[in-house]
Amino acid sequence: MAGRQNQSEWAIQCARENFRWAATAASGVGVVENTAAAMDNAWSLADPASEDATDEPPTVDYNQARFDSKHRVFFDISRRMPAERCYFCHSVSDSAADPRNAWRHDPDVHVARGMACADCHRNGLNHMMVRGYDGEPAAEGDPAVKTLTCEGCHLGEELEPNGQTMGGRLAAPRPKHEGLPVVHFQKMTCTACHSGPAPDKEAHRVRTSRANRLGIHGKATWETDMPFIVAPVYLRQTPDSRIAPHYMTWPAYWARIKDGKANVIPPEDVVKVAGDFLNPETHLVAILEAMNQSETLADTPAFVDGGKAFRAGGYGTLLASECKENLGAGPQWARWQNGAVQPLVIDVQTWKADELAAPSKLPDTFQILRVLEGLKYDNAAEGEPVFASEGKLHRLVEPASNDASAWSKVAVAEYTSDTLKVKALWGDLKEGKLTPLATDAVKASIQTMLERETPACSAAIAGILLALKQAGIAEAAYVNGGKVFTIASDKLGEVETLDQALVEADYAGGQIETPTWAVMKEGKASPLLPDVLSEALKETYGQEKCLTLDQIRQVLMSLDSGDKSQGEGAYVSNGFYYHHVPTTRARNGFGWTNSPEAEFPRPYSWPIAHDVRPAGQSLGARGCQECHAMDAPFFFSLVASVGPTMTVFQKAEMLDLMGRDVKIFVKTSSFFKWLIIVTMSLLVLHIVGDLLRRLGRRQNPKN
Amino acid sequence: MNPDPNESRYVMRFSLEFRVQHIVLFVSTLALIVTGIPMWCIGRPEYTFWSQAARPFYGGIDAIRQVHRWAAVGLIVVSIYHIYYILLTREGRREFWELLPKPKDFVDVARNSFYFLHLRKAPPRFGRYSYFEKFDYWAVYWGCVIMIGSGLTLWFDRYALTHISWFPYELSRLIHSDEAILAALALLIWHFYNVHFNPSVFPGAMTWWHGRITREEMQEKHPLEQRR
Repeated sequence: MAGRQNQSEWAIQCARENFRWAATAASGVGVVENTAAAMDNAWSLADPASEDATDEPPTVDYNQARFDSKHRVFFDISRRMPAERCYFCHSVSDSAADPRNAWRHDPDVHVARGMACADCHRNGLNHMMVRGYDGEPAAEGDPAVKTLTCEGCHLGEELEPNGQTMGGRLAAPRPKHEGLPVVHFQKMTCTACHSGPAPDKEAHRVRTSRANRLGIHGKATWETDMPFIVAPVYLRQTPDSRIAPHYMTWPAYWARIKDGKANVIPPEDVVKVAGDFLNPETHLVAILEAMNQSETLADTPAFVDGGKAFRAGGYGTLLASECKENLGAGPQWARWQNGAVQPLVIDVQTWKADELAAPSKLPDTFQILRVLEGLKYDNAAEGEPVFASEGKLHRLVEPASNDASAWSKVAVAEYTSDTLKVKALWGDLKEGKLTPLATDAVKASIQTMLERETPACSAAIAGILLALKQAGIAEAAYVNGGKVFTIASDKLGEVETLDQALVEADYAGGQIETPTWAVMKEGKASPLLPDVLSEALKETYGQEKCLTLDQIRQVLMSLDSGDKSQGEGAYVSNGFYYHHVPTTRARNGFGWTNSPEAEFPRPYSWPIAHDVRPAGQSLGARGCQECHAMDAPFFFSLVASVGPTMTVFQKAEMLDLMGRDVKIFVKTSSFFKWLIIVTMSLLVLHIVGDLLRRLGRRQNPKN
Repeated sequence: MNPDPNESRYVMRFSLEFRVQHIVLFVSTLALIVTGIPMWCIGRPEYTFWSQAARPFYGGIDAIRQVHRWAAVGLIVVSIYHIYYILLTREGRREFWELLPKPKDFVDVARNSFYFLHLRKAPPRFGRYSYFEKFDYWAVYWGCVIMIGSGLTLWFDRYALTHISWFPYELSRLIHSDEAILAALALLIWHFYNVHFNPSVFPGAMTWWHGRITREEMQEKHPLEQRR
C-alpha cells in the first residue's frame, strides 16, 4: 500500500476540493474524474445528478484488477513506513550545485545503511513525532527520547536507575573524535560538522518540497527558487547557543508598520490598492490582446522596448524575442511579423509631399519605404527607384514569398559615385547608373501615395482605438502632429468605414514629437503602458525576481495615500523594509532601512539535521584549517539576503551572522604576517651586512 | 667582574643563575618548536606529510600535545623565575638595567648600518649588551608574554571559553601560531647566526655553558664595558 501511494495525485485531488476521493485516487484503487470545486456551494453528494454537463460531480472508475472475486481490495499497510513516503513533503534540492553531484555523493549515511526516517522519527498513538533534537527530552518530559538523538544512539545514555549505560541503538558506531579539542562539543552541535551540505564560498540556494511544492505535478516551482531558501548557514541555535547548520530565508510581505511592529497586509488587499503596478506582464498582455482584436491589424501587435519585442503568447502569457530594429526613442508599439517589427501604424498623415520630394534632411526609413513603393507603383523610374544620400543607397526589397501580407523593406548599401555629390535625392538606378528623378514627378507620386494611404492609416488607427475601447481602455487615444485622435463611440452605428468614427482634436497637453499611443487623463496624454510598468518589465522580464524599486514606491504611495491610522505602508524583504523616509537624503523621499530595533525583517532560520555525513566526510576531517583558515567557508562563507526585489544587497559573512567581528580577526592576521616579513627582512639584512663587512675586512684588513 | 683581571685570559660574562635560566629557556623553546611544527601542520592539507611523519615518532597527536605542554611548563617556570630575578635580586636588577634600551642603542643601529654600507670606517663600540643582544632579549620577553598568554587560552580552552568569549580564543589561536613562526625564524636565523654561524664564533660560542669570554673578545665586542 505504502509503495503505491501517489502523493502528487493526492495533492491534485485536494486542489480540486475532491477531499473525499483523494485517498482513493492517490492509492490507485480507482481513477477520479471531475472536480468538486466546480460544483455549486450548496451541492451535496446526496443531490440527484444534474443535467448540466459542466456541473458533474466527482466520479470514481475503480481499477477492477485490484479487487478479488469477492470484491475485496487487499491493503498492504506497512508498519514500517518507507522513506519515500516522507520525501513527498520533506525533500530538499540544492539548486546551485551541479546536478551531477547527486550520484557522486551519498545520501544521509543512515539512509544509505538501510535505515528509514521512521526508525528515528518515531511516534506513538498520539502522533507526536520524535524530532530528535537535543533539548527534546526536557521539552517533552520524556527521558527515553534522549536515545533517539545523535548522542543517544552514538554515545549511549545512563537511563537505568542503577546507572547502567544503555549503549547506542542499532550498533551505532561510537565516535572517536581523536585529537579534537573538547571545546568543539561545547560550542557546536553534532550536526555542525556532520549534517547538511558542505559549506561553499557562498551559501547555496535550495528548494524544498514544502516551499517549492516539489513532487506535486503541475505545482512544483522548478523554474524559480522563490521564496529563496539558502543553506547551510551556521548560526547559534536557541536555547543553548551552540553553533548549528541552518536553512535561512528572508520574509517578504507588504505590511503596515505601527509602533515598531509590522502588521501583514493580506496579498489580496495589496492587489486591490496596487492594481497592475505589481504585474506589468498582465497589464501588457491585456493591451496586446485587445489590439489583436482590431479588424484593421493583420499582424501581431507587439511592444518594443530595451531590445526586446514583447507579444502576447495566448493564455495570458507574454513572449519576448530579440529585436534589433530601432523604431524610435523609448518604448514603442509595433507590428510583429516573423521576427521583424514595424510601427503599429505607419502614419502618413503628417507627411508633406514638398518636403519629401526634395528632402533637406534624411527622411526616416518608413518614409523612404512608402515613397519608393509609390514610385515603383507609378512606374516613375525606368530602372529601379532608389533614394541616395551621402554615399548610401536605399533600395526597396520586396518579400520573396508570394505572401501578400508580407512587408517590403528598405535595404541600405554603400554607393560610391563621383557624379553624386548631393546630400539626398530620389534617383533611378539603371544598369548600375544612377540618374536623379525629376522632383515634380516624385512629388506627384508622393501626393498620390498620400491620398491612397491616408484613409488606410485613419482606418488602422481607428480600428486599434476601437479594439482598445472595447477591451475597457476607454480613454485610449492616439497623438501625432499636435493632434489627438479618439473614437466617437456614439457615431459607430452611423458610419460606413471605421476612419469616419475617428475624432480629431488639437492636443493641448504639450509637445509630443513622435506618434504616441496613449490614454487621456485630464487632457494630458500618458503612455498606454505606464513608464513604471515598462521599466519594470524591461528589468524583470525573464528574471526570477519581480519587483523594482519604482514598483514598490508606487504601491507604497498608494498604500500611504489612504487611511494611515493602521500604520505606515512598508514592504519587507531581504532583511530590510522599504518605506517612505521623510528626509532629503533618501532618493525621492523613499528608502530602505534595517534599523537594528526592527525585529520583523530579520531572516527566519531553522536547523538542518539530515544528510548526515560519516566521520571521514565531516567538516574538519581534513584538519583544523578546514574551518580555521582565513578563508574557511565555515566562518567566511557569504550569505546573500535574497528576496523578490531587484535591489542587490551586500552579502554577509557567516561570521557576522554568528555575531562575530571579522575585521579585527583579519587585521590581526595581516598585522602578524607583515610583522614576520618586515622583522625577518631587517634581521637578514643585518646578517648580510655584517657578513659582507667581515669578508671585506678579511681581504683587506686595513678597512 | 673578574676578581683578578690581570691574571686570567678570561672574563666572567654570565653568572650561573643567568646561564641556568638560559638553558631552561632554550631547551623548552626547542621542544616547543619541534612539537609545535607538527601541530601546526595538522589541518593544513598541504603539509600533511610532516605531521604524518611526526605522529608515529611521538605516538599520536595527543602525545605531541603532552610534550608541547610540558615544554610550555618549562617556559612558564623560567619566565616566572626571571621576573623574580629581575625584581628581587641585585644581580638581576643590574642586568635588567643594562638590558633596557637607551638612546645610544638607536644611534648604534644607525652607526652600524653606515658601517655596513662603508659609510663609516669602524663599527660602533658597545657596552655590556649591544643593541642586537638587547633585541634578542626583548624579542623573547614579548614572545613569552604573547605565547604563554595565548597558549594558556588554548590549553585551558574549556575554562577560557566559559570566561572569555569565542573571539579572543580564536584570536589566540591565530596569534599563537603566527608569533611562533616569527619567534622560531628569529631564533634559528638571527640568534643562531650571532652565536653559532658568525665567522668570529663558529661553530659556536660556549659562553652559555661556562659563562666566560676571552679578553680579546671583550675588547672587540664590549669595549665600553671593559673600560668600566
